[in-house]
Amino acid sequence: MSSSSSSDSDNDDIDLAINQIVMNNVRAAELIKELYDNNLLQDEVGETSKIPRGPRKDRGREEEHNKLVADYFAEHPVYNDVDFDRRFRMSRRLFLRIVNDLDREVDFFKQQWDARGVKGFSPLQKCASAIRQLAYGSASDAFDEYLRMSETTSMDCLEHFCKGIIFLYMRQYLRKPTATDVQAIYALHEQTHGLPGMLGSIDCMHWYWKNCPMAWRGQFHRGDHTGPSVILEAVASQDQWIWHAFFGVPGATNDIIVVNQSPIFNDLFENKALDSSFVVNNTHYNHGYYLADGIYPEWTTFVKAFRYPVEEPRVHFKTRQESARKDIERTFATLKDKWHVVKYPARVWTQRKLSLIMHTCIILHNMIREDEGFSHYPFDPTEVLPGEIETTISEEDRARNVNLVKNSERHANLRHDLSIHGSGKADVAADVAACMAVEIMKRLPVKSLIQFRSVCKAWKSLIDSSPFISDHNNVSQDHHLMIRYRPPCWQLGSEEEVKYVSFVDDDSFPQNKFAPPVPPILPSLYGSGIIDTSCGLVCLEGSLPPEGSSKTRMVVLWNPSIRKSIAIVVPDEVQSRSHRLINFGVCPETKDPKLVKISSKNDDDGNQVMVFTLSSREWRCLSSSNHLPRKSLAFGNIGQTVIGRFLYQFVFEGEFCLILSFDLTNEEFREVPVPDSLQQSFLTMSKLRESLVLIDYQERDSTTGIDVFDVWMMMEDGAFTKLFTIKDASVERILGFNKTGEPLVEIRSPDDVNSVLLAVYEPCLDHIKDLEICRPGLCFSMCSYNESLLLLDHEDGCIVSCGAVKG
Amino acid sequence: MSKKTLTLMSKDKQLFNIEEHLAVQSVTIRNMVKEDGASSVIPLPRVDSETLALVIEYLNRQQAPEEDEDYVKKFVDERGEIPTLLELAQAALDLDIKKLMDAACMKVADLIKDFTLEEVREALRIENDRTPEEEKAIRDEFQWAF
Repeated sequence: MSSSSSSDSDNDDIDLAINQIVMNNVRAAELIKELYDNNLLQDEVGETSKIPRGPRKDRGREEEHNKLVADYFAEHPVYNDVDFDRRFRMSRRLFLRIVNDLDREVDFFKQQWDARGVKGFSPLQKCASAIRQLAYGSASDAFDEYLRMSETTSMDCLEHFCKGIIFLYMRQYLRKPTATDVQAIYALHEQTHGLPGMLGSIDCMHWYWKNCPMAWRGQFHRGDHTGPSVILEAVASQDQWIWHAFFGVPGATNDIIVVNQSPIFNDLFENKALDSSFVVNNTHYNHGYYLADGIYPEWTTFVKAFRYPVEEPRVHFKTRQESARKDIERTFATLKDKWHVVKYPARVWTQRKLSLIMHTCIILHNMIREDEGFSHYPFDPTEVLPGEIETTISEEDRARNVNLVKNSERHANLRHDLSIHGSGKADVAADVAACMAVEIMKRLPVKSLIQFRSVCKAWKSLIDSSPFISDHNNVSQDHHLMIRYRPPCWQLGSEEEVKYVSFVDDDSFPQNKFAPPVPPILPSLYGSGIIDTSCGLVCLEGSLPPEGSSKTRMVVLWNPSIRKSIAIVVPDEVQSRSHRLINFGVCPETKDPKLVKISSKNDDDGNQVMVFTLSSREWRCLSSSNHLPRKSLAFGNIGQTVIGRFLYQFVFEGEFCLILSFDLTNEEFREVPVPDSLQQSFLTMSKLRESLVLIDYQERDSTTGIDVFDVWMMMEDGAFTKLFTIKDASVERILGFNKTGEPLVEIRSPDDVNSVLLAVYEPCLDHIKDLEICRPGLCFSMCSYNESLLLLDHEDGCIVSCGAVKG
Repeated sequence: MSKKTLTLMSKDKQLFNIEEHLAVQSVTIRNMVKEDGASSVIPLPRVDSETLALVIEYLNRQQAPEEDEDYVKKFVDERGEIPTLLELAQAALDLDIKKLMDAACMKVADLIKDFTLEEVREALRIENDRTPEEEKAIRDEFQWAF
């Protein structure tokens, strides 16, 4: 094993040579210092010494060398060029070039003999082993049988191969673009994407790190990823040449933090950058830019797509920007597919080795792009590369340069000029209008928006897009009260006679009203009723007419402002014994309607909770990690209330009454106590503006013989305060509250004892005013909603069957 | 504490003076002041001088906080022209003056909400890029709204 025994002196040689690169190339200095300085002085913390050498086995390495030659490198090899390309990821020509260079320049790869005169591994074998490990991402001993190389030697090969590649090729194949390169890149992007001044696309990629030390996992693991990872920030041009690679930021961070740590703009900050000026839309810009996605900051060096493009040039620009930015995603995919070692979680133990492997893969990737003829960037080794000139700059100048780059105004101007550049139009007034159209449209009422979908193509696609639908919902819209009632001469089964009337809840109430056409499925449902409203959606439930013994329960989500509805089938269990409750709410963050079904199969199992989200169109069971309601809680079927992100309802523990809240964003249950003073009474809940209200009903005050209603409001700290008391003989029920906080009540008609009327109670005057609406009617119920565009992006009247239920 | 004055420069190179403690109602200017310290002239290359004059009139208002809402409403009501309001809203968006932008956009929304499609296109300089048949098809999806 003479070849590996010389590795120590070899290491020093490389390190010396690398020091020379350090002298010449400042950027290489940053990287290579990081890579090697530690190594020269001592091993990185946590890096264990080599695996102890096992007993020598006579593997017959020389015969194996001959076999390898016969397989791939002989005059008439067993495997042809296609096979070679596939297994070595590169052409035979390029592979032999690398082997020859390494053989010549790096001692480790020279053919050597040990003291007994036994021949060591040939350069071919060592390179083949390293390439195979990179290409297949397999364990170091996976090729023992084929290449006859022990695990230890394979690992040595890989490390020296990486060092050798970086040492030999980094200056050329991972260089910063020279003046010639910049012009070539500009020409390429102008031709392929029509974007002048574009230097490439920037993005980050995560390389998972399986053997990340346990103590570091926190900083390397971000919640949306499956494990610890290390981030690579890269810039690629359209031909998939990688111009910049910055590797080693722990995976828990995001792209903004990476770009702030990255040396990518150091040249600009330190006045070392080349002149890469260009002109677009008659404006002169000093340096090129990179296309980036939404998370990147608004600097002059990034160009992002418009979030809501409305005017034609901007829509067009968004399309072009997004299709051009795919370059970097394509490059990452190519890199991972070529070098499986970066596709799978890394098994090495130190960041130093991760960095070596990543840089090697990128350099090889660029070499292959060039070898295969996709990229052609001529390189003169004697040329002084950008960044290699040492300059000094004062702190103030540097700070000024940083401010120039991080200027969002210039970012906006550049983006604007680029969008004009592609379209040939420059109408300032139209442009201002387009810019503000989104902000204005967010504030338009629903009906106008429905009409304005016809204004132009861009407006329609904007109004129909889900980010706009949810943004529109965040701006306060007109408030409505919907009243459901049925005529007095109503007979069981004639559901179509149930009336729904919607009133605009403003100063004019109850003058402005309309009767939206009810969802087509609703009249065919038995025992239907309103569950609740949330974010402009009214949720109703009912059952289809029974067929045999089975009964299908349906929930209808109805947006009366845009007159669209969706019906959802509720999954049925065979052994449903006691209660089954359906709750409804719209998650305020995602604007995703959710149904919550709570059922108990039998007394031992406790409560089973299933959640349906409209976006997934699936029912799934919640697990006990969501703090399911306790077994001992019994549900009273007396309605729910949604306020903000919480869904409230009453539950009972024996005689004791509690409020159970369900968080629509993280799907957790919690219990809210009800004050002792309210325990003995008959409670209902309702919503007053955006607060929870409890209505305490006491039958027949002992002295006056009149029913009494106390209205309690939950304050922010969870305590309840009494708002007012209604003492009036005619009041039957409180239905709900209008926008000004006055309760709508059902009163007994003074003329006819059997009929009821709808009235409003004015607390400050202690007076009841008959509204003279919805008469004659019975069984009033009421709900309030804000206008919204929810469901606009769904098909009207469709029925979602329950399908498979996810565990 | 002495009152510092900032100078703002509009698109057509006109200069406007404003006291710093009033100017920093704009989040954009506040950030610029914080970062650059004592920079003398702040260029606003997307705002023309008429609009900037309006913005400065708004920033210079001396209103008690409880009357502020009404003042902003009145301020935009007096400038009932859609092009002016759009420029104003754009400037408020660039300078990040939330109240002014909200009010200006709300006013435009109020003005155009009952417009016909043709009027909307004219007001906001939008070209109709659909054939009458296509337009009718979209209308028919929501027949009730027309």
